[in-house]
Amino acid sequence: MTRAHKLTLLGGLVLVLLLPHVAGAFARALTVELLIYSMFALSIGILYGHTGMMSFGHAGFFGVGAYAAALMITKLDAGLATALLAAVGSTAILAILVAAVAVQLKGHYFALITLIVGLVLYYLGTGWRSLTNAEDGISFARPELFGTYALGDPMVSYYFFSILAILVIFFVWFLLTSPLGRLFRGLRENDDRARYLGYPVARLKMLSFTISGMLAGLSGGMYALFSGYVSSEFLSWILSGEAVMWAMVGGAGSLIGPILGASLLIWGREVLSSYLIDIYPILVGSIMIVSVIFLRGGLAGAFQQIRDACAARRAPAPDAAANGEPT
Amino acid sequence: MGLEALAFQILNAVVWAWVLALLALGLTLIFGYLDIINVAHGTLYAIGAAISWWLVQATQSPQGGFLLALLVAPLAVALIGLAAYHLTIRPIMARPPIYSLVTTFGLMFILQHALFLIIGGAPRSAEMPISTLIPILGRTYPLYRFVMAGVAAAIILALWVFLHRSTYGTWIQAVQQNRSVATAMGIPARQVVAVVFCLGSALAGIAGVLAAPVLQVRYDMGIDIIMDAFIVVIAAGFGNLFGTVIVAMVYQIIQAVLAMMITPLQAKVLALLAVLVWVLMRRKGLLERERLA
Repeated sequence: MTRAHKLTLLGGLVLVLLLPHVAGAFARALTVELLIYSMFALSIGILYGHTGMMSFGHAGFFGVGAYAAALMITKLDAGLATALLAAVGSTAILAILVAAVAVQLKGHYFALITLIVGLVLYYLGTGWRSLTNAEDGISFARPELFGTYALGDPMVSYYFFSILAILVIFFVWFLLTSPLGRLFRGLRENDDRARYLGYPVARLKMLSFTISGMLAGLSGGMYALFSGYVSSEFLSWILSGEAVMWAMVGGAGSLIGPILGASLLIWGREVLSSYLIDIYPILVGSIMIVSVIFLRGGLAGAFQQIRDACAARRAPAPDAAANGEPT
Repeated sequence: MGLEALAFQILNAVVWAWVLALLALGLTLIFGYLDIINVAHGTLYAIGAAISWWLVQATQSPQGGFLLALLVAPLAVALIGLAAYHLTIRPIMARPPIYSLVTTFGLMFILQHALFLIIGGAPRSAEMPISTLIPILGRTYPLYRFVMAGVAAAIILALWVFLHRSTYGTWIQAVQQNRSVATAMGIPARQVVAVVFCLGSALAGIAGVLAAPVLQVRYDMGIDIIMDAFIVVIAAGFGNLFGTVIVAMVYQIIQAVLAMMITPLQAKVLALLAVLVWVLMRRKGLLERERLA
């Protein structure tokens, strides 16, 4: 991780701590939402941008995490930590099961398996009413934090979830800039070569998928606990598509890209929602297509190109391994 | 009684499998020849069904509207496919195929929601063009379902003849095998590719027209069936023409038999698990047989 990344995170942390002093309840809630969805977009980033595997069913993990956390609280009367652990644990198991099948397959097949798994989970969410209550969803009382602070208190929940999200993002960045992250990108570029070099390709892909699924599950669990609500819409394929869109628009292969994409597009949706709610899915689809065709490497890739162009004037271009899109 | 019900379930499954195979063939055709998976394929099917429903409403004649739809819907859907091809596939043709998954996924969002804005969220039902009931095993069964399966089977046969016995079919094979050599021999490769995409889309449109009188026409009806189509295509291996028909048949029968014992939802989930196990068991064969037989 470069110094710029550490500074970005530190800046983010300071911003989050200062924000309540200058902004109201709407901005606070939106900030938490942006951070949680950024984690979700980052899970696509890990999988697609860094390892080169696409998932069209990631809302399945988001929703399962959300339901795991919510059901822990409503059915088992568990605490906050248990609920979050359930979100991560359940999606870890699910991800390992899916990955065991999916990583045997390449490109198209892989993405199709994730699409089908996502759809099946959505069907289960809408069909298994006794457990999920389908579209109507389940509202529940939010648990306590360390037994003293109630998460129902907006300030407590704001600080808790935003700081947790930033720490998680920090950890994921750390992971992606570690040798493991470099290995993932090696698989993205050429997994045959990685295999010849003796790396356990299938197991590494499973690891990437599992980390990604757990991150999506954790973001889902956090979202459920933050809003005190969960419904089958958390599993919807539209959400899967949105996650892909956020990551692609921001730049799936960079560290900041998915966060940038999620923040920008969700903020845009909130601001424009009253005008555009009727055509929102059309907008999502168009943005996906346009950003794939014209925005290679996403917004982060575009910034990188500008920076490289400036640097190239002064000196020969440096190797930009961690950035750009998969080829 | 139980056995009789089972027989009807299986009959239903076999009849419906032809429509499913038609839809899956559109997918597999586009993949086998162009290396593109059209995620929006199910939505093209829904558009075909919606056109059929609309024409029956507009002409006030179930037969006339249906026959008209059989002609109009494939053309209209092929045109949509052509536009979609130029907007979402052509610009990224030179890049890895995975990008086409994202653009056609985006296309699905656009088309499906456009359809929602046009026909609304409520389910619509189109009248059957043939209302005759024929007695089988002491029950009655709608003749239309046999006609539906027959039309689907005839189109699948025609597709095979077209691909293997016509000059244009040979061009398609040539472009698939080696595009640059084919171009050098004077085959209009760009046109061939666009035609394959249109053809695959048209198949989805016809499947939609055939399904409209049997199912409820909904803007999101493509989502339900595209999952089945993907499962069939994955299990059969991409580009395998007759394998696709057989797998569609087996898959439908398994689901029908399961649905006798458990809920349709559970049957669907079980069928998916079965396919996953199947894929795991013969993953090598699956990756080897990727071209049209």
